[in-house]
Amino acid sequence: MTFAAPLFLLAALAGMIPVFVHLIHRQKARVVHFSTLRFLRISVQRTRRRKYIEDMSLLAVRVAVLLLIALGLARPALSSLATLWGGGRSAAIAIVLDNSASMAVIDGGRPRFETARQAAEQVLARLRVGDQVALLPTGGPPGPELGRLFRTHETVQQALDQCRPSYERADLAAKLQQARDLLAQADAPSKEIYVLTDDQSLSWEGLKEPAQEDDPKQAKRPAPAPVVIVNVDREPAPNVALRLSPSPARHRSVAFPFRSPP
Amino acid sequence: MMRQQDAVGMTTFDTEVRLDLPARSSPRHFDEMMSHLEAIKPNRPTSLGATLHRLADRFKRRCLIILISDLYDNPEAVEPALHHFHYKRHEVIVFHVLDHAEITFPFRDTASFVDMETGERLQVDPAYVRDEYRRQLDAFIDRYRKICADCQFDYVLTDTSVPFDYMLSRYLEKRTRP
Repeated sequence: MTFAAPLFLLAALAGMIPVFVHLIHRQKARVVHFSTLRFLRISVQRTRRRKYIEDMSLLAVRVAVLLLIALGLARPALSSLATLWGGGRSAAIAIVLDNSASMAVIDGGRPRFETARQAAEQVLARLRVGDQVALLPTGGPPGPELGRLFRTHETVQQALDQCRPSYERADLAAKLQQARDLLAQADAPSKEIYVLTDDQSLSWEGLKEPAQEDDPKQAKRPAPAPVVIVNVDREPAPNVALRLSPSPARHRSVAFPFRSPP
Repeated sequence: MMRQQDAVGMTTFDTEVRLDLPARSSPRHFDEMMSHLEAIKPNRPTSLGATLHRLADRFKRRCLIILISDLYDNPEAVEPALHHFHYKRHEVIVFHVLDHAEITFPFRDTASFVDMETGERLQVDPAYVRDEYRRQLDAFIDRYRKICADCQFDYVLTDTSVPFDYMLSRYLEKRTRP
């Protein structure tokens, strides 16, 4: 969930107003000299629970109204329903980074690899505390920080900083399968795979579809993580996502830099 | 009563007897009673049951006792004392004096109620406790009304917002009816 006017979230502090009003009101209670408190004491004891429940309910409603107004003013935007149901909890993200030779090509005044790295950093920046992330470059020397899920995002950031374009051919199909296997082991309710590539046809050779639900043996398995393909090529090929799955909703291909949906 | 040469005495008490003027019928005695009455400053808690017991023991001759009190003591403690008067064949008229605000509980805003006898404070939202308070007070009044009926004493609930002479004349008028 994102906010178009996050400054208005400060208005949520207004949620404390009912509490302050209650405290001020309490201090200003006037003094009444009364002949005896014996009946009042009994009455207070007998009505205390009802009064507590009513007071707390009323306070909760008042605070909630003010918080919702603040939330509304901040203009929240929900990118997907998955964010609503699973977004509040931890997520597991796999970043497949194409660092094949073609990524060294300078496109639009900068190497494609730099564009991909910037996209990866943006994905990392969106993560929240507790989210797990793994970096899977398609080439280059293996390292202990690669191909594993980490909750410390700095570790992945450092691994990303050390990544360079290699002179190997990218096997995106194999890396995508590796990312799926990796996320299948994660217990996070929300999972996503980002493929940052210039979308060379050769890189997708050998691509397999994820297990279909009509297979009775696979039916009880959780649905495969959705894949977001970030095409860093300035002149992208036709939508790769359509080749990946018969269900276009499962994968989507986006251009970089990311833009919020209209 | 003094006009018809009846001897009248006066006793004031809280936890114990504070003033005890023996029954006399002279006009000077009447003035003395009035001056004492005006000088009284009620500021102590009450122990009604024990004090009434002691008074019942002290009054040797059969007499008319007018008890003016808010009766704020445990009715279980006061009941035997009133029965004690009944046993001694005294005639008792109980003027149960309550403030108008005590009877109607007209408060609206949250207030800090201070017990005038003990100084104890209690913050109360009247809207929540009003019904329960009235139930408690009604039960308290009914209890004394029943005790007095059992002893064949007159019980008069007295609201301080009603002028005392008006209330007294109405009571006497009712009393003289056959």
